[in-house]
Amino acid sequence: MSESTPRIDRRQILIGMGLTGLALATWPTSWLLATGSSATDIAAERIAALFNGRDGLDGLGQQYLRSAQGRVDPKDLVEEILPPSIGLRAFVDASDDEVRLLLSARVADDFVSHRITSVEGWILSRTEMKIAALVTLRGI
Amino acid sequence: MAIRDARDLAPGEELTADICIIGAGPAGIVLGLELARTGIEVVVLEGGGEERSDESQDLYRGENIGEDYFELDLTRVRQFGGSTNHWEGYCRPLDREDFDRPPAADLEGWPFSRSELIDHYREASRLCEIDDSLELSGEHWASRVGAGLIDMEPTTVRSEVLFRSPPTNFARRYGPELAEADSVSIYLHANVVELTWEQDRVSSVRIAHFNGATQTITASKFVLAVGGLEVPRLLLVSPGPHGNGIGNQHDQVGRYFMEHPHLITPHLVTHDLDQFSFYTEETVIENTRLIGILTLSPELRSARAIGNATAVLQTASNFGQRWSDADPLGKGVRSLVGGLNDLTSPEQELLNVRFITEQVPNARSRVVLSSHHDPFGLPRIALDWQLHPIDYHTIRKAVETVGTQLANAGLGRLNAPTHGGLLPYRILGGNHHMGTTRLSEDPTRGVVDASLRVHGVENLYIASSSVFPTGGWANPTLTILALTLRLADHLKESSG
Ligand SMILES: Cc1cc2nc3c(=O)[nH]c(=O)nc-3n(C[C@H](O)[C@H](O)[C@H](O)COP(=O)(O)OP(=O)(O)OC[C@H]3O[C@@H](n4cnc5c(N)ncnc54)[C@H](O)[C@@H]3O)c2cc1C
Repeated sequence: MSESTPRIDRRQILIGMGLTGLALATWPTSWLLATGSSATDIAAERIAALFNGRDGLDGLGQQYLRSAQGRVDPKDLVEEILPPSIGLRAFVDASDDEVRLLLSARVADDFVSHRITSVEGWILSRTEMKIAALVTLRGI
Repeated sequence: MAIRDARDLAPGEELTADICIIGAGPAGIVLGLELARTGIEVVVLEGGGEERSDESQDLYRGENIGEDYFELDLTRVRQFGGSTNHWEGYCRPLDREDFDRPPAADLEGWPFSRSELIDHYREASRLCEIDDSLELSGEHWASRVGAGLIDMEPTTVRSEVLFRSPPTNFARRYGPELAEADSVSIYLHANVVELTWEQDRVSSVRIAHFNGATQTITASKFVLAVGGLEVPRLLLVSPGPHGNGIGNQHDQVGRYFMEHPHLITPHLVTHDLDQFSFYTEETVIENTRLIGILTLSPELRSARAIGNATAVLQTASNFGQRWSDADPLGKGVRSLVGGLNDLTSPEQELLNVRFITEQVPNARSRVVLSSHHDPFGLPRIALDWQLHPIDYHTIRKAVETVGTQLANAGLGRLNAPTHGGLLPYRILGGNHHMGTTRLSEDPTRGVVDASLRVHGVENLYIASSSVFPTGGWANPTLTILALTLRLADHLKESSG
């Protein structure tokens, strides 16, 4: 996984994420990745895709959004969720398993650094709450 | 001698012995067995019969006037063998620190260290038919079966073990041996209703029958072994020198009732149940059954000023599953863990966690006499179980610490009910009745001295968890037996 990963991999990722052929044709990854915000969109999509078909994240997400007390921008969430050492593009290029690993490492780091929060008794990492919020926002 | 039925005694008949043991649960039976080896004349008076009966069990009814608690006739068994007719068999000595640490600034703890009880603990282990090495380290046992331990900071949370007796039924296992001893007479259906006071000592006890007949038993020494709720009752119903109960000159009898507050969290969401198998499945090594548990390190406990506690992991029952399904946030957590770990079968991710914690002795938590009476005309008991804020603090911190450690180690997410400082889940007891005649060298702060003799009474001793000055979190029976064996040594020496 690196910045120089061939474009074909990015296409595969997008296919893996379930984007339609039309979308791929209309939004070539080169174009998507040309702007920071689009890469953020893809990153958000990649994160959310891990939780496709899994219920109940809304409840946690809403808790986060309520406690944030103001508008939460998905882009900010993505930036905060991504490990600081990993560039946005590298993240977008990563395989699903790698994305999971990167996020899990981020979560583990939260626990070690006591970036944790208790939501009605559930001890969760802040990253986990942000993931839930991101999934919730994308579902809205 | 054989086991006899006290209902066959003639009304008004008098019996005599050197030592009279009241109650034949594990404590009374083991004390009888030990004394039998010396030839001291012993009479054992047991209220129940060989089988459970409603009539006998009814004598245990009482009221709960404090924290929610089990019905008092369901939390103990009034039958030969006592509550070991129904116990689960979990066994563990108290920790060294339980003996060494005073429970509060103004209250003493144990007047001796655990090392003084070690040999007795070993013998107690043999009696409970468990390994007698007292080896509690999880590493030791897991390595013997090649099992994996979960990896946590040992200065915070440790892997240890909890032993499990077959579970030994003390009446069935040791009753025949006791019955064969020449110097021991056992009477069943012998309900003691009063200790008679005479010049600094108990001179006799009176037993009563449902048909109204009574008999008297005279002895040089008496030992109360009727369980942690009934010991204070018998003392309080016996007027004694001040008319307010024997041993109660400082209003200490019945106070300091302690349980082991249990909290069952609905679940731990994990992505790999297999790594918990040493903790969720019983291991059997050379006839010793044990399970892995998580305990709080002594360092952590002193740093946080909390009591002792353990976490026992159990595969989630259907109940746990339903509970979690009813918890929308729990569902979200399962989705988070599932998504991050690519789990395909969400039903396989749950464990229940049972926290068993220490209650600090507190004088307001107590057994008192109720205004209701049993068929013998004896006041029943009212249990006013009271928890102290420190107890809630201990529970919260235990859950929080274990939860954070499991999460730190990437093992799972625990529902730790700490929000708002409240505990949304019900706190249960463990059928462990401790502290109601606590051991203290100071007669104004307890009921028995270090030899388990009742303060101010020359010849009355107590063999029961009622003497525990602190109770740690460990199931009490092993410690009851260790103390009983120690008392047997004392009685053997002082009797001759
Ligand atoms: C459901 C359940 C599960 C348990 N599981 C565990 C466990 O896993 N591990 C553990 O360590 N502990 C467990 N316990 C607790 C354990 O059973 C007790 O700690 C133990 O039995 C106490 O022993 P004892 O001899 O002091 O008192 P008891 O067992 O209560 O025996 C007292 C005896 O005195 C008799 N008696 C009472 N009043 C009178 C009277 N007035 N006159 C004459 N006789 C009288 C009773 O009939 C009884 O036989 C459990 C208890 C229950 C109810």
